[in-house]
Amino acid sequence: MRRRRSVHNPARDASAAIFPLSLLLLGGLFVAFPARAQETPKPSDPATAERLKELEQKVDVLTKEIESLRLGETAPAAQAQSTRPTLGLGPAASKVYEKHGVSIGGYGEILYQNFSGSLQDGAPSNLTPTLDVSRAVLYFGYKFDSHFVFNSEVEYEHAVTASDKNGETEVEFAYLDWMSGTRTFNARAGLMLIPVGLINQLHEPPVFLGARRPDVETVIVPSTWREIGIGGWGDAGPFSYRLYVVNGLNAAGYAAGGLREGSQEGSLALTRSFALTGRLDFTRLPGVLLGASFFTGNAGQGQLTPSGEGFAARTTFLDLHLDAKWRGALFRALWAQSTVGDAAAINRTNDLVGSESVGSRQQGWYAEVGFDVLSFVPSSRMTLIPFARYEAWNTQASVPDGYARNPENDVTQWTVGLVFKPIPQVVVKCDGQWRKNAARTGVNQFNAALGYEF
Amino acid sequence: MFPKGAVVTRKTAFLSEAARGEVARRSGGAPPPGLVAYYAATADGKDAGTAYFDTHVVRTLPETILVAVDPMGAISRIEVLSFSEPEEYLPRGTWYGQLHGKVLSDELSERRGVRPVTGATITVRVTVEAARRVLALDAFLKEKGRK
Repeated sequence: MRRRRSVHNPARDASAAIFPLSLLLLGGLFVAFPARAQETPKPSDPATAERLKELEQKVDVLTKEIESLRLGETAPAAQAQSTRPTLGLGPAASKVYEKHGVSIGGYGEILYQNFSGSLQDGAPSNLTPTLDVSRAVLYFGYKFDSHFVFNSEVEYEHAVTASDKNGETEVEFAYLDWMSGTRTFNARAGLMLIPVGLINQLHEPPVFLGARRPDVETVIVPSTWREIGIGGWGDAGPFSYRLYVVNGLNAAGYAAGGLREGSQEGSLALTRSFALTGRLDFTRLPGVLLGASFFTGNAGQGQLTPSGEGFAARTTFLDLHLDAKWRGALFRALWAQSTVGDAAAINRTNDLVGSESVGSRQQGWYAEVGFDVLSFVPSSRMTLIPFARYEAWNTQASVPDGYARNPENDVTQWTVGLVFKPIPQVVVKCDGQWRKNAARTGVNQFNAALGYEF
Repeated sequence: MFPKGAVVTRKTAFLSEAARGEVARRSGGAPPPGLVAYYAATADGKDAGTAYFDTHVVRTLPETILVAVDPMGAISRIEVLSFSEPEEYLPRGTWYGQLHGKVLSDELSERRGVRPVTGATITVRVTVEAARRVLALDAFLKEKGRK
């Protein structure tokens, strides 16, 4: 399927206005001098020659103007890429204008989930199928000048935000970038995505396989995870890096099922404790992303146990990840772990007993493989990817002394499905998930999703 | 980009609807504009390559790239001259390096001979499409004796 792009473009409109003029002038050449134009390139009549020369000059000026408009509409943000923007190709081609303004994008997904009627041990699951606009996200960016850029995402989850509905409206990120003009160092401040894992920063539906995001990257890495902070990012040799100081997590949200609710999401975040987070990716090899990330900081935020003791609740995340694409093949793997200090104190503060304990260690990993079978059809821009993913995670890989682990939190899951993209930015997915846990209460499910990004 | 001492001449091609359609058919993507300025280099009176500029929309904002094509119809250089989307969507220079030497064939695709970039998939796709468009245009102009 071929796609013809049709985008409103002021410069192109200007070009469109000038272009017929050029043609008119060119046409004028041949209407005025039909025979001579074809038979005698250089008319002997001085007046005609002069007229012809004048028209040629006008056409030349107009074509250069059109070229300037076309090239000049773009901003010089990539000067780092181009050490010699002009390359000696002439004034029109080297003319670089400043063009600033609003950039709009977005993505969304509609998800159908149908659960097995029975649990892993045969007991009835009593789960009802659901159909949900799980996300509708709008991206807004604004380029103030060549140094300052604003980026944001506003997300609607579950379609409706109301007292009788489950929806949420969130600012997923909102930050300012200061671009140094090189790729070595750039600064960022605001509500930012924590650079841990693969999905947290890249979660548009056409980017990942599966109707649902990998559970390891929502349960162990609490995607979409964002906090307020300041830091730097850029490239250093064959590596890309990010390093931020952000507000710490809040241990009041920790539970046996994970640390997800410890994220403060930029909403009146408590800042007794801060955290450091960073990421290093090897990106020299096209098609391969290999890296590691971390997040570490206290999460006590000044809270006290019932007996009045303060605690730090040092929380540290580590992740190793690999994403590789070669021809039609896709491979992705991730290992993630988080550790929580003072887990017993958190349990006492959060009134958690027995197997409700916060895990002092959470751990998970997954690996997935897919292949675009339509990559064998070069003329097709469509994509059809059968894929399989295996995941294992445990939100109570260890618990403090005196507490027990709930075997329901020790989970393995197979996901097998199909991803179809009629065009690169639209995706239809369906898959089956076979989930087991140590308590034998896992539920299998079928998922179908429609996603888009622009 | 061109051999030392090469003489670079700015030229203009006016493409009819049929010509634009033919270039689009060969490239497998969007057609070029009706007016194309290009820079033809000669050295010792022989073709030493041609440079083109291609401006296209990435997501909602444009990118302009320079593509130099050698006399054999292969990409000899590709550079991003301007990029208006957030810098994070811009692949590293090493990614563009893999396009050098590529000719217009099925291999010039992010699903075959060009490796994509995680996090910059749209940029990669439109850039490869632009490279294909330039190579198709170069071959078309050469066939028509307009270079």
